[in-house]
Amino acid sequence: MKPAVSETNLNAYLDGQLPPDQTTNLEARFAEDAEASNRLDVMTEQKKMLRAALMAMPASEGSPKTLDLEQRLASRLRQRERISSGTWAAGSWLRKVAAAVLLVAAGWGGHMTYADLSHPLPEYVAEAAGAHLVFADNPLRPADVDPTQPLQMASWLSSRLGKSITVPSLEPLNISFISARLLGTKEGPLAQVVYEDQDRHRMTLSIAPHSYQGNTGIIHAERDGVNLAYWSDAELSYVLAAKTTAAQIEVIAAEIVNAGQDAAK
Amino acid sequence: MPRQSVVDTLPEHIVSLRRFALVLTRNRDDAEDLVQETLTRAIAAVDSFQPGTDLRVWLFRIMSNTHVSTLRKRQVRDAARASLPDPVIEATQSMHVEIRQLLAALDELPDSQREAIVLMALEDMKYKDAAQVLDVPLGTFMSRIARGREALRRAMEGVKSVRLRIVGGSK
Repeated sequence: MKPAVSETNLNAYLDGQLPPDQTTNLEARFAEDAEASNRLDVMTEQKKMLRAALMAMPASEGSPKTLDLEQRLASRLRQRERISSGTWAAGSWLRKVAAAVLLVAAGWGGHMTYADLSHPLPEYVAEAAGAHLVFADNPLRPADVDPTQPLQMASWLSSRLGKSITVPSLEPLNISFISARLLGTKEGPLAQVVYEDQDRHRMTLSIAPHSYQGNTGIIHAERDGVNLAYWSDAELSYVLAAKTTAAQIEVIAAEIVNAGQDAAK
Repeated sequence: MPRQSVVDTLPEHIVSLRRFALVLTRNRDDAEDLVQETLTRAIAAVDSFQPGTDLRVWLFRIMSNTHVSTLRKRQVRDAARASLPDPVIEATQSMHVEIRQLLAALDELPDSQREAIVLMALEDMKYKDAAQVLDVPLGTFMSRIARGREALRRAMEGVKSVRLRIVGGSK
């Protein structure tokens, strides 16, 4: 007999949070599991009733002071939108980091794909120059730093990046830390952390310092079957890459962002 | 048609924020204060809003944080347990008795579970956004939703045979 449909799955289905393949699987289960189907019906009805009650609250009228604050916020937000539409270069830099990560993932064969056409040097030449700056006068890794020890690696990588980084634990998501390494890109040093899930699928988290304002939200992209999520905080840019679904990569990225914010408190 | 600015969606978000505030504070005046404090903080922190991201999530997150810090400051957790907010009672006077029973059951839940359930009923956000609003890890948010809704379901199963409670009869 199949195990009962979990509360978590039932709720995720009700709230429209499951990816299409899991939705289809679960719907097939409902057809043969009357108990689960009944639980879902009750929960759907209760969510609808609750929404009706909330919508019936008289909430459209605020005080004049609230209206004044609303207008001030609207004007500040419009200003903010105008300013940021002129600073898309920051996002462009992040996309380049994402491309650099893919370059490494794809091997050198991929280098022409992401070449910046306006760049006077072929991309791989610029990358080689960057790698030289990072590694020529320094060892790939000191002998006393163990790449499979996240704390040791975080400390050494922080010293090479010039910014304090942490290696987030993804154990709550059943994703294990495997190792970490330093890469040299044309933008400078980049820390790459390698993880593996229970099915031995690899995932990498790349971390690099940046010099703009940062604090950009999570952006999702996909190239050659590799799903990417990239974002930044005030000092560092992050790129998460794995051959998995967009939903999965977003969940993991959100977990890393949350862990970072908790650690910063 | 020109692309809509997120600012055009602000008035509807504020109505939603007011509803959420009514559930959080259980009192109409406190709710309006919370909306105003949220807007004041949003104006001060406008640089933390990233254009292109969800304005609603940003605003709800500020409200949730503001509510938590206000609670800490006033230490009114116990006082706030009195009963469902008046506006909810007003809204449900004419409603089906089952809705009133559902709200009574909701009132029995821990704050953290109630807030998660109300947020999803109000806004249908992505879980990761809702978790961010309430400042908890995704897994914690999902278990609050699951546990809270399971408790509601069980409460409503027994409600007709065990008790018939009038919502918000007295404070």
